[in-house]
Amino acid sequence: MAMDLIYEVISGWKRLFQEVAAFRAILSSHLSPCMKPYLRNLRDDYLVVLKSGGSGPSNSQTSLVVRIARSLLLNFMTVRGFLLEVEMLVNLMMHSILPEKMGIGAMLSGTEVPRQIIGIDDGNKLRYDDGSVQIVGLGTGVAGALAGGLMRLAISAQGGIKSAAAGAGGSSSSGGSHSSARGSGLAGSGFLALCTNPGGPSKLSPGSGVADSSPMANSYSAYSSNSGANDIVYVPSYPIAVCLETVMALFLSDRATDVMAMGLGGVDAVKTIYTSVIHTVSTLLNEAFAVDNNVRLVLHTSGTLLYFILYLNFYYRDFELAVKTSHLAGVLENLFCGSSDSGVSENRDAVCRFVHDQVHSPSGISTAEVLVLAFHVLQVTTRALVRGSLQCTMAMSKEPSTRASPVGASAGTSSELVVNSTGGSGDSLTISIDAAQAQAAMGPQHFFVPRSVLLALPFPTDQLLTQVLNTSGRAVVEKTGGKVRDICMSMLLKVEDTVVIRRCVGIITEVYCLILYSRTAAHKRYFFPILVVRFSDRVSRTTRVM
Amino acid sequence: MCNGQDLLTANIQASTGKTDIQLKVLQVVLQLANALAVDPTSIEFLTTSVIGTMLSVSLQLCDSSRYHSSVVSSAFATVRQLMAIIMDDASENLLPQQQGQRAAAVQSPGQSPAKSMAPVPNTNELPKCAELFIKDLSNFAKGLPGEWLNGKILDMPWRWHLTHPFHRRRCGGPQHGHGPHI
Repeated sequence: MAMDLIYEVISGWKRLFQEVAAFRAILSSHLSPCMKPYLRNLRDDYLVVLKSGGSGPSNSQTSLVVRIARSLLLNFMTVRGFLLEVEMLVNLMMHSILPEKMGIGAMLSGTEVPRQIIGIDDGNKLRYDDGSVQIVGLGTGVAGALAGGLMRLAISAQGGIKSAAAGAGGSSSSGGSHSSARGSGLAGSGFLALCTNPGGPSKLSPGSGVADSSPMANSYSAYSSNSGANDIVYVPSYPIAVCLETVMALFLSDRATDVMAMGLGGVDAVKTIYTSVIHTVSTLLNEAFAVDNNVRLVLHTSGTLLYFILYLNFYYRDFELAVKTSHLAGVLENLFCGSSDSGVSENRDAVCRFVHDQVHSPSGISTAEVLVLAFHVLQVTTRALVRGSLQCTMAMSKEPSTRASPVGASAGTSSELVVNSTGGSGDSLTISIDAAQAQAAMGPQHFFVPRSVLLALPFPTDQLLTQVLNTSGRAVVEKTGGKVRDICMSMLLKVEDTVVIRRCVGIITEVYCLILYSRTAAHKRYFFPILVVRFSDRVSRTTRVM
Repeated sequence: MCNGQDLLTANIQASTGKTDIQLKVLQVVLQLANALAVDPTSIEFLTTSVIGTMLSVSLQLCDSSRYHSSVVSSAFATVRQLMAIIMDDASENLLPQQQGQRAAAVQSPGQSPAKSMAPVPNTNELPKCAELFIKDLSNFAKGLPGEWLNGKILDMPWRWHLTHPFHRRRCGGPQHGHGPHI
């Protein structure tokens, strides 16, 4: 009850907390601290309540906790003095995504893993107290995708997606295990299989030698030391899904960019958030796709995957090629968007509402959808990072007189973009983008930086601009770029869907363009990925990449 | 109109254990709070003490292990209504834009601007109640008793109920915090 009231207070009277100093102080002194234990134990609490009360109560309780944290993040991130708390809340949510050494299994006996504690036997069956069983892992995911995914994604002719009631049960078309239906919570009680040691020790990647000073560093090391030889652990997918949805909503909004625009102090705080999110999500995807069943799971739910990705594509409006090459995508685009050119910001809100409604629905979200959501969170986060870094740099280059330039060179021309680029056909293509166009491309109406602008960005010669970029973007990418590259390469190798391939190449494009843009000595190490980017159009036209 | 003695009587009546009396007490509390909050001339009667007693009576009846479900749901609705009253009043009094709208609404058509801008002693204690209530809510969420609503403990968070034995087994020491031990 107290949590219900807290949620109503902070969501119903948010202006009070934003504008009145006394209530702002309560945010940091009382409300945020009382949420931290819940977020820290999010997964363990979910498992305990799932075992004792089923998926309904566990889903609703987890949803309530994360909705409160979501409200704190989205409504009060730009409130003065609350940024440190935001950083901590995001880190705690990321902490609850990956399995940890001191989880609930360790709390009970010190040796048992959560799989045994919650009653998952060797046959991947979750045993309830009443003696009923439920398949977890692959079986739950496939059935959940059918029951909670495809049936929910019924497309309405009015241009929206209407949520149909998810039916229990359903036959599997994937050849995987069939699960016994257990009410509407079937999809919500899925478990995600993770391989804690994907392919043995990770290869040294560019930037892997950089020390991670983020607050999550200890968690990362604890997680790494926990990994044994090809250990498969099961983590509940619902807490992961709600946390990922919150992070996606955060980075689809302009809050993070606004905070970065506040100056180097804001950049430093957001840098930690970016590092935690990208590192955790890419680790999750790496661990998940190291399990072959998960790859099969996603591929077999290609209907859900396609709808999900295409729905988001329409609103991002920068994957026109993918839309053009897919007849289904064109039909759906007409259904969703019609002929009107509605504002991108409104569509972004629609995406947030749609994903929020799907994830927090009583039927929950399937395991396959969690992986798809994680993949999108990775792309949204990397793009928001690139956009925020470039906006921050452009904002500084617009005010040469107000900043202390150590060299004072080329400040006035840094926004003028003229570059020679070689297209996929081999013809020389000159892209000329003036400062106004670049500023417009970075404006609030465009959430994502168009690829043409990314490829046309010149190398900054101003040391201060380079320093800003290094502070905001490159530092994050150097800590996390290796994992991002690994998961993108893994997806390129395992997934044949052209839309997914384009998205993987897009992620690599954005991340490494940022590094190349900062023009440091490290850019030579990223030369090969940039080559991949330059030929990405040609690559994406093929059905099979490698 | 409303004093602490009346509310003390209501508090005693709420403890009788009879469902119909408890519902009637909640009804009286709700009507009283609504009537006082609507009338600007009588809102001064909603002091910190009165609001605190009203919330105490309502929160006392939110214990689902002791009271009937109809009483608990009514008590929860009463708490929410009281919360809305104090939070709305805090918004009107503390937010700059709302203050201007409220001043314009209070000013009568024939009243001169100079007279309307005359300083009025602020006897409204509801914004203070809002702060205290939110702080107590965060204490309740942690499983701690309230500071303003002294001695009250709202329903224990599920985490505390369910994970407490695990903490005890792992730590091997005495249990910390408040609330029932399983």
